[in-house]
Amino acid sequence: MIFGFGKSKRVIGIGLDGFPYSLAEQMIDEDVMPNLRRLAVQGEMKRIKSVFPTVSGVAWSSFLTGRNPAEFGVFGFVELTRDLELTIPNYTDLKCETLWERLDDAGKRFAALSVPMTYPAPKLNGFLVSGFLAPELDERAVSNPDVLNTLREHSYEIDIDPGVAVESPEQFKEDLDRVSKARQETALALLEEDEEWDLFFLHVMDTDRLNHFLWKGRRGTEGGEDGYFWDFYSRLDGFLGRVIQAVGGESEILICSDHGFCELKWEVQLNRWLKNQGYLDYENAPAQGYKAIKPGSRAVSLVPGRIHILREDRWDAGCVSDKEYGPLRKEIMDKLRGIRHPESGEVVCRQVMKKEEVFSGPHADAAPDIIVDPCDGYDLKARLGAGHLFEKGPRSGMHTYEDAMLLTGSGLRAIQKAQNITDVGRLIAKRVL
Amino acid sequence: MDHLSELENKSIYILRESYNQFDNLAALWSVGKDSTTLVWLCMKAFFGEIPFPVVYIDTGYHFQEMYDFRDMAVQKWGLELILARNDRALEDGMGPESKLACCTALKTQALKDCIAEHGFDALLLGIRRDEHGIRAKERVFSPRDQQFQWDYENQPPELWDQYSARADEETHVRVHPLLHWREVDIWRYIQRENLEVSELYFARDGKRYRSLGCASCCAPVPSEAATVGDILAELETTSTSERAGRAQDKEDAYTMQKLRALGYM
Repeated sequence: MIFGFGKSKRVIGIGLDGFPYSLAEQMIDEDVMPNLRRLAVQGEMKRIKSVFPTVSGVAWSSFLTGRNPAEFGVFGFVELTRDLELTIPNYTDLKCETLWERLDDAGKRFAALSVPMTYPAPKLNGFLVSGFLAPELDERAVSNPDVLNTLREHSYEIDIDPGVAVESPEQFKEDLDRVSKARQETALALLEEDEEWDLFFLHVMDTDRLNHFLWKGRRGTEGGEDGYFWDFYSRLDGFLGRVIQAVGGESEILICSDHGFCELKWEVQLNRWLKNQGYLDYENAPAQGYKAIKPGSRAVSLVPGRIHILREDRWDAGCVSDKEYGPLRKEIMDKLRGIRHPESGEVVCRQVMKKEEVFSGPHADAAPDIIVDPCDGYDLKARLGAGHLFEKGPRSGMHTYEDAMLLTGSGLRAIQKAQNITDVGRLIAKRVL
Repeated sequence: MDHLSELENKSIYILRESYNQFDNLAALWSVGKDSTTLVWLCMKAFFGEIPFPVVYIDTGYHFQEMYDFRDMAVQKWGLELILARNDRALEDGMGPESKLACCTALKTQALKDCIAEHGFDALLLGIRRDEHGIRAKERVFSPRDQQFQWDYENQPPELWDQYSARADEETHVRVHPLLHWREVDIWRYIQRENLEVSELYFARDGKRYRSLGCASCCAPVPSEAATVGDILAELETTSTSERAGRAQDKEDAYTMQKLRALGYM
């Protein structure tokens, strides 16, 4: 081997959805995750940022393309068409080449398990199974029928049903254990095969689900006596140990998360706020969805913290002229900065940003006009017909833009310089390709 | 020179260059608008008589209109037609129920067998660079190995229109004379040349096909475009970002319920 030629360039990646850096540190300090400690000591662990809007669909699309949302054209789990119809963007809506396509083009051997926004599964020469929001495990969720057979052998499931978390917390824990176990066993079986992966990437959605619904169940917090939260991470650490063993060392292992998490105190219904302020009016007809918006409305919000100004040329029902746009946007932004919780007096919006501050690319026209980054504890929602500005929901954890994590093995120093989840995807591509 | 003539000139140059460089050339013709344009360009490049065969991959599941159009065009243009058909798989009952396996057997395998049987060293294809992001890296001359794999990092350079038609150990080279065309160029050219294309492209009962394939796996798009002129008007006003599936069917309802449970809508 001369000057690194012929050296393996493989990466074994694990994406822990919504696993915060600060929680990783705590898990290491309290010895809940000794294998994570071992990886962090031998390699390096750092804090990285997520993307705006801070949801997994956008964050992993950024990872997959190494680009910003105005380049790949997706800004959330749902979008509105110009006639106010709700649509759910998927993999085919990504307008940039993805990591999977590039790997396939280059003839690399890769496995990609469960990464969000990979549905419908592209029919490529890799072991690929879609993640969130694939409705079920069938041919549309895999790169080829052999993959489906292997997954079924391991009783693999795409995701838990999050609806269960509210109805039955015990069932939720059972589902989470079953789904994570099958996911982990499948991943280990693939890693233990003789196949020489150039990139192996496992995405774990289960951490995000756990953090959403049981964040308050952490030890040392209110209602955290049952210990399930800690046990879950302890079992995850056991899996990391087995990965290290299967791969034969730490140096090529990468762990990253796509956003952070914090305690959710209040859900803030931005469409209620827009209505209160006179920017939005709608009929009380939930079945109609966003079609219930009445003519004359000037702004509407989508989760999380996306506000569209209803401009004449962009929306069928739009009424805001080019001349009115600038001043109206400034007025709304100024008012957003002033929102406080009536009891605690806390400010709700940490940053209120214009779209051009956040996005740049050919699809910037489709971007929300205002992006709000909330203060910790205030989760920005957008339910039409919400009765109150501040509401309580079933979830106790919410996403944060700051405090995602990246851990790189000693052989992956080039990826260590990543500042956010987009960089992580881009630098992985750079190393493997 | 106008834009369409420039595109046409470049394609004809590539076609003549290919005919000169390869011993055993064939054009792949799906009877779709792009490859029909390709065949028409071949007619022009070789003065009304194409000196090589055109290959039609017959999956057995195409629209009847496509077979009719094919037979009409073969007659009219005097084409030497070769059918690539995986009869064995069809006899074994291969069909669209098993989508991916079906495509592999009836398209990929049929073509592999056809290339082997006739010993083609190069194939002309009507793909365009604007079809998909992945096509951005395609070359005009694109070598394929025995597994049909495309090693995009190891492609011959193409500078100053000097096309190198030989690559290491390839079994055949794919030539893409229409790579530089866009969808709208194709329609403008069809209009200019008054070229006949399949009737499936034009609206019937408020629907038309934007691309053609097997009847079982093609869905029409809602459209009122009944002429080439209408299609051009439609293409100029359609925003490309409208591919998002409308939230109507059962699958979307399930997905929405999930998004709601997680508080994403």
